[in-house]
Amino acid sequence: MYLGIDVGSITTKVVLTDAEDRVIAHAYLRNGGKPIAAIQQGIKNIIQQAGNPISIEGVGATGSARHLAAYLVGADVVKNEITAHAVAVIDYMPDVKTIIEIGGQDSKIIILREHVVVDFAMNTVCAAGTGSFLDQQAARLGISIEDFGGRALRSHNRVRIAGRCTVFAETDMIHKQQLGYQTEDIIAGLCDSLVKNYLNNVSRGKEILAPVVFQGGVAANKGIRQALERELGLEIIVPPHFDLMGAIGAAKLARRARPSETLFKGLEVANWHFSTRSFECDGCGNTCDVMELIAKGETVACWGDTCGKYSDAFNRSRDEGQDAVRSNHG
Amino acid sequence: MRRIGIPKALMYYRFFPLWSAFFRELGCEVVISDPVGKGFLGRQSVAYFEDSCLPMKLMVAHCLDLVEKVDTLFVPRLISIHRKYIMCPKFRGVPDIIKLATGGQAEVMDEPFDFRLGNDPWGAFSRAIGQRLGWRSREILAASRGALRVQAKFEKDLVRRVNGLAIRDIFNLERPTPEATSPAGNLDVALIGHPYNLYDVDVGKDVIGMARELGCRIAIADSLDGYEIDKKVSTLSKEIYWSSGREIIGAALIFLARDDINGVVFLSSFKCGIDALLQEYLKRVFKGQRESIIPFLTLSLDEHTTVQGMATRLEAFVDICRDGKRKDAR
Repeated sequence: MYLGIDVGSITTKVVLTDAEDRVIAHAYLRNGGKPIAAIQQGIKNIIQQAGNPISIEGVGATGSARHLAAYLVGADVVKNEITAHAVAVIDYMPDVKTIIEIGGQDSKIIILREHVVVDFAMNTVCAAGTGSFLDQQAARLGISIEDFGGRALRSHNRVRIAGRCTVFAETDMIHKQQLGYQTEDIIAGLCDSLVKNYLNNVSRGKEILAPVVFQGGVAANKGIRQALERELGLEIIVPPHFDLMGAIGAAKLARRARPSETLFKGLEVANWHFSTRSFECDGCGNTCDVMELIAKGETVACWGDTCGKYSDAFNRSRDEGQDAVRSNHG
Repeated sequence: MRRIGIPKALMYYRFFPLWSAFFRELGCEVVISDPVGKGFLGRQSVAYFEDSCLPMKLMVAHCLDLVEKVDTLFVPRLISIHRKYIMCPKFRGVPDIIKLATGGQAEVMDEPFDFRLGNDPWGAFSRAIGQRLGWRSREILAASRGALRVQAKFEKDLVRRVNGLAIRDIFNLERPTPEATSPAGNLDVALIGHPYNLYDVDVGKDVIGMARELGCRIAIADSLDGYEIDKKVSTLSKEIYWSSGREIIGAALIFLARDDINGVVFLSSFKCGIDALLQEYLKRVFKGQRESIIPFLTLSLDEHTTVQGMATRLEAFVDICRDGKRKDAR
């Protein structure tokens, strides 16, 4: 069995897959600003769901906090989220030509031709249309995020909302509310404008060809889905595990890497007490923030220093320690 | 001994060997700027011209660092470094910006350099500076010729320095050039962009080091023949009159046509007018040739660029290059 962990900016996704990349168990959690706790909770949920004893043969980590996840649990493969997402889709839909992925704070487009990724783009200057903004607006309108997209489908008169910037989008929404527009129409308008923003900013200049797969947390939003279809004039395919694709890709990459011996620290990491410590190094002008991950009173990982002064020393001493353990056993 | 300060910014990343060798030959002490600390940009109480690119802002910070350490700041007015074409117009204003920012605390040596004028523009330029320092023609001539040899040697070595030294040592002339290393089975990736985008860690976040870490051998425009570049660019429908822009477009076109290059990365300054145009143009060039796919990535750089964001994009890009290479091999 393989473990795939995708730690994004807003949510953490953990999947357990078998040798055929089938999802046995999965967890989708909000980080709530505590990614370490979220990863641990995710593993706990997986253990509970799987029921049967789990033996992990490999672990893959992805997402913006992939390195943290890897340090925490011990990962065999650490991969950027673009490759991980593409890997997950290719088996699900081998002929896919375009992947639209919208997550909590990231949005990206991945272009594939003949089963190979040939181009991609990620949002740079603007996070309009990503999950956290939709979250905020749903909360402001007093609608649960789960119902948000469905409400858009009930609109009969889509309102035009300024979508170039989220702040102005919000201003415009408030204005439209004050003018007395229906909430459904405003939500539908917001979906339209956010899709336009995505197409103008992220996928600008890219050739969007069918089949188009839409994934990431925002793919749950029916309103955005419909707006994308209207705007592109193409059918949008949402895979069954649309919100777990990064984690599935990571698990798949771990399986393909076939580690002879996994670096996974064991399922008990879910119960360890982790803490972090950081200090500013004054060794040179870079003044790096050096981070240490501490478990059971011991530093278990160290990173953040550009020159490797601390992390290299730590890795060396750890490797020597492991060698010593091994020779003792031998 | 007269102390000449050379700010480690902008065209330092092309002409430092020439400039420093010249001043040293004339018996000056050369002091290189070294502003330290996180956010040294923000700390300076200078009214920045907000529409300026990051490298230009860094120039101001570097000069401020030098002001109290030197007698003279060397900030030449670079009008042209090409027989026919010109530099970005902002370079003409640099000495004035620096005079304003330093408030006359140090003498600014701002002799104009225009490669389009006369038979021997470097000779005329070096004579003007040498005379200002009180030397006679004969000594100046010897120093300027010696400096040219240093520069020529450096340019010849640059590819090896880029591939063999840490980024901070590429322009550290005390570090000898390592022997050529060409590990087999590697990816060959071309990095194009203004030299200060490539080599200034504060701008480009050491993309060179990141790419090398990912197993890439780096190709750069400096290793191409200037004549070849000019010839290539002259086939375009419109004349490009910035020398740096010509170099970037020409290099991109040459690398694109080469079988031994697996990918091209363009490092652009977010607020650079030249780059904004080049970027659109390059996108079209690379898109038009989609069949002979050579992956192309634009990384946009400014003070908000994070190392993590760059690393994610570069990692995904290198994955694409590797897939492409494998596909070609089949």
